[in-house]
Amino acid sequence: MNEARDEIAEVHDEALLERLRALAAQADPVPDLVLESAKAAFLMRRLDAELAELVLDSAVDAGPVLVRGATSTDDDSVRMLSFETGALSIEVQVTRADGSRSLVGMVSGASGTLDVETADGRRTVPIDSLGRFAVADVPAGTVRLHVVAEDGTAVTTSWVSL
Amino acid sequence: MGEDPSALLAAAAAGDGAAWNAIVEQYTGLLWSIARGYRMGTADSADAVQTTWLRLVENLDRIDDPSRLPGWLATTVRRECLRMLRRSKREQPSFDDDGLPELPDDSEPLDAALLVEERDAALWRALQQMPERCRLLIRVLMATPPPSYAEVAAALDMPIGSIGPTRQRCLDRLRRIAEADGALIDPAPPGGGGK
Repeated sequence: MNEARDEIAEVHDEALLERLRALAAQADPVPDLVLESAKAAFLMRRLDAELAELVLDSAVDAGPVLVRGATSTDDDSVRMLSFETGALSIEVQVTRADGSRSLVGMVSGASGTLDVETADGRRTVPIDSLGRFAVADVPAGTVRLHVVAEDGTAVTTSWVSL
Repeated sequence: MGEDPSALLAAAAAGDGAAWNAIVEQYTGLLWSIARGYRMGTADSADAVQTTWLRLVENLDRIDDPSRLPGWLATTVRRECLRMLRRSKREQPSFDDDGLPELPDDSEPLDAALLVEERDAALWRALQQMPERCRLLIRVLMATPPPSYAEVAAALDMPIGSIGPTRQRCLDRLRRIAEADGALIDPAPPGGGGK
């Protein structure tokens, strides 16, 4: 309607946002650790393994009430994750306890070993002849799984925050 | 507002760590502001941002349109935040229908005590009193370096054409709240009730 007024209002808006931006930079800056971790993420790159994408996450895909046939449960301490790639699929059941997670899962199409990788390190567990694996006391945070099958095939899952 | 990320992405995909660091420096501020805009605490915000960067690392070889990187990053961190919020909503049902918390949590993104100037603290208080949608939009716009509207649209899943008008409406509202709090935050816009 009144373009001259709009232009001046726009200048005022920019000035106010500039003040707000300075405020955020002063009182809520990006923590150094966040920047350092982001840079270090590059070192986690795997060029040798196929990526298994997260195709199902009960924390996202289930509604507020989880209804799955007769085994319907409201138990939020258990979370189901499924990863898939061409060669194999990985199903994981995550149980939460204070500060740590237990993983029980099944790799279809491979046995061998499974690495649980976190920001702090890696633990290796066997995948039995039926494809099952179990890992306890995984620290809460960002995690991925790396499967090395007996025939040497390597698959890495997407990172998930547990 | 930064160069086209295509060249940096190509270099990073080829193994150039300096290019990767440049991408991180450019966009971590935006990702942090988005997580904080969703009222995530420090640890959860750090997790959401880190998960986003790790997702990019694992997809470095498979990016079809590098110019859309900022939108992809913003979308990825938003989804991660909403997932974490949905989860905490189910654990402690104190959230409204948007999946956004109704009450300020104990992890206020900005600590007014850190702001020495009273007028800054007043502005900060006014921001906290904003309706959730407005507060979220403004917090994302507060990112350093300033995000483009395309990045903001991706961060909030809003049509790009609505960002400008919504921004104007929210900033007007912020002014009114701040003025009611006795804090003159900047000269009133012309025509806005002069003498």
